Amino acid sequence: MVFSSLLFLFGFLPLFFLVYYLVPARARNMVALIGSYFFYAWGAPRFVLVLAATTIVNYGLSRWMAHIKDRGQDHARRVLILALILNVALLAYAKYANFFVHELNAVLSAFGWHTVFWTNIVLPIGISFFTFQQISYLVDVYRGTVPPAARWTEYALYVVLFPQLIAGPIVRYHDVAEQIRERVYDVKKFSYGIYRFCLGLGKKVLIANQLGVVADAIFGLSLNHTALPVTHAWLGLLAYGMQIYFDFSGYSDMAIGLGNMLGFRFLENFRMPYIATSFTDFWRRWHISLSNWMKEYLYIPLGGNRVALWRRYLNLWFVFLLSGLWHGANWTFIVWGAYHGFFLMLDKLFLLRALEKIPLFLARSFTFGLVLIGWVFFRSPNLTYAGDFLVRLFSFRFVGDIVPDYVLAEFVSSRSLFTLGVALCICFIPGWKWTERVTIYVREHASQGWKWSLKYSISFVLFLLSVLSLANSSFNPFIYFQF
Amino acid sequence: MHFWSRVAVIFFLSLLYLPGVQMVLRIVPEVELQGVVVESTRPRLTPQAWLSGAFQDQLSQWFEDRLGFRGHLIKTENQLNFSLFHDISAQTKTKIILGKDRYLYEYAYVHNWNGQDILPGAVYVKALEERVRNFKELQEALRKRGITLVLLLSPSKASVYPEFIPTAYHSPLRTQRNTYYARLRPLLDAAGVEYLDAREYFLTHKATSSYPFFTRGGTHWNYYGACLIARELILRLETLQQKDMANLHCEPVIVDNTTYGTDRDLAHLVNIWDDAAFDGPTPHPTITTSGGEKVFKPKILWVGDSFTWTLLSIMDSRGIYQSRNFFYYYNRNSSFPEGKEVALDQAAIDWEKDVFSHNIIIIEASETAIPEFGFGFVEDAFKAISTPGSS
Repeated sequence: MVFSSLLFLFGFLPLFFLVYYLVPARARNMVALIGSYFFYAWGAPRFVLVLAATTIVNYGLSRWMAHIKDRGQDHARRVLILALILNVALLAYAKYANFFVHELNAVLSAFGWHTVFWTNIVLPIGISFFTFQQISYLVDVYRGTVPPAARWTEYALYVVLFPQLIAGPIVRYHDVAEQIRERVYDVKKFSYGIYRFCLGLGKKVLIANQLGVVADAIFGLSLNHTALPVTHAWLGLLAYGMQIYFDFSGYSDMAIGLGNMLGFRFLENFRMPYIATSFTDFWRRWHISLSNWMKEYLYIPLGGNRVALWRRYLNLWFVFLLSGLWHGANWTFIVWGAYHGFFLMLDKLFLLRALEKIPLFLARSFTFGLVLIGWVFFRSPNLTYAGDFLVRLFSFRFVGDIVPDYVLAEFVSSRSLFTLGVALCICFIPGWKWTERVTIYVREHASQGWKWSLKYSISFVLFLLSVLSLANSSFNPFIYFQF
Repeated sequence: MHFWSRVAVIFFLSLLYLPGVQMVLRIVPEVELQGVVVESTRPRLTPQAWLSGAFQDQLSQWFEDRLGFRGHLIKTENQLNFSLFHDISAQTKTKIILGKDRYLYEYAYVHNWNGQDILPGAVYVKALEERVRNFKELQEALRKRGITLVLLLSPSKASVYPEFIPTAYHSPLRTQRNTYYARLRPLLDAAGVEYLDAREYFLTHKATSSYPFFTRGGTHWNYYGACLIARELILRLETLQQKDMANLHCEPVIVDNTTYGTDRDLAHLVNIWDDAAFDGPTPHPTITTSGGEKVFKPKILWVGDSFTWTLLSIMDSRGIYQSRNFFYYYNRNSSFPEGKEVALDQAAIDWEKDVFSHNIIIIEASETAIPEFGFGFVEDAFKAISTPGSS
């Protein structure tokens, strides 16, 4: 069940709110827990037991770890290591075993040896997110940042809370521990949640889904037999760059909005990443929860900034390699991670200083251009395709064959071009100086009522337009009876 | 601030609960949507259905199909896209292209007009040659039994009115490609097959005709175009049968902006509020017959696709034949004057009774159906007629 579905919006959510707010406040954790397990079981009925089992095992290990800490840090460390191995092993098996066996078999075949027999494993949805969250909890307990959850239900709720279970943001335990025990429910928080949720829904349905059609059509072309003009290639890449941002940030907005409606405050996950002035700045704005997690639980334990320069760069690159791998089991994601790691290293070496010296507009354009090129790897099905696509981006071929023209006619409508324009405006206009001035002026001079009515009018228009789009996509008639 | 927060919360919750309430209570009459869909049923919850995910998928579909205000939502979405962006956003299985001057086209026919649906290689040419050979052999075999077999080639709107196809859908390679129609015609002539080419007829008369043969919002020929073809078909059948039949007349023609039936089948599928968006001057023929009481009224079997329906709607009620059956895609059988329509079990056909008892058999094929014209009927019929005593 996805947030942007009619069943979720008009089936699950109304029923859930009804029960959640009818029960006394002390029972709401249990309602949220049951609702969240149901939510997960709906989409992954076979894996809900895996999810429950991981929470039981990890909770047990965290209690054990806290208990034996008195005997010495070494004992606790051994339990932590065991816990980390179990979690990483589960993630590695569920998400990467297929990939590793496939690559191993490719090598074995190349040498003419027998390949390994393997039945592909189905990936449990959300496993990357809930594994990282559980690791964050275990490390926080080990470090003493937070005590272990008093009850398993509190811990389980942290892991499976449905707003952030499937696609983040990755919530660190110490950010929400207090809220799980006690949180404030008020109309202001709920209404803010509505605003964020509607914003996110609009981003996902009205922008990401629309531009996804364009990106899918262009990236779906077989480049072996298609002369793709450079204009089409950049259009497809731009559409994808916007799709991935609005899809992901839209989902985060919905998660934050739902969290607020349930009384929780989650941290922000995106902060206008495409106006970043460097890769360093980009990663302070894009998937902030992941970069915070990587920094806190990987980069710093590897030595952080305390080690020698060469080791620092290596660690940075390694962290981003893993970050790429975390996104998916394919060489394209690893290369994408390495690409970002490379530019982050350059930032540390000289690039950051150089970019600070040039006009803001140029620094932003330079960074955005490179980030966009990086998305080629993220989107391509394999490295060969990525290479071909990159060639076409810089081919200066302006005439193609019929296939791309037809694709444009079929999939690039006036609405999708308008949507692309809107998406670009949303991404870049807030970064302009005069936008900031207008915002400050409005904040200082406009009445509260006017501001609020504008904010919620926009929210509800986005909500309604999104629902219109979702309803329409659910109706697929034939012209005549098809027997 | 709290006041506005409360208003926002109440309004949002109303939006969340209203469709569900409407779904259950149906307080407001639901808007009917046009187009054929497979009716979804509420699934039964079983452990297997749950674990496989089938229950969830079916329940989602069932819920979406019954959501309150669904018709209102869909029509509003389509209307907004049409009015603001000049886009057809209806998510139909039959993709619709909005052409110039609000002409609607089925994508498949535009694709066909561009020669884009031709299968690569010589395989399809051989298959077409064989099909024509089979047809000719069947035609001869039936002629020996006194049964007239005729092939009717129906035109697509894209072929007859390509000038309204958006430029973006004009393939620059179109003139270098052969369409199935262009491949078929010489094969038919070389084999000496009896056929009526409605496409050629329309293109020949297009410049001099006072009225169009297709409407803006329909994918099939309009009633005027269908009447002309029906008239031509009857004249051809008279020649082949050497018998007088009732003749059709299609004048006078009344022109107004009303469209009905197949004249607006694509327009219906667009599902917008503005019902008349694709209407325009539409010719309505005044259809009469002549020939007197003693004309020959045959029993006709049609095998074809949806283009046949318009012809039948003209011919059924005008005493052209004493009875007719229509094997729709050789999968369903519609009969006149009984007015029944049933699924056709090809294996259970009694060929003598159900097929060879007719005086005339007409196989109709639209341009996209040419690769498989007859839909298997020609081969089965030839096998049946060649095998003594088989049914």
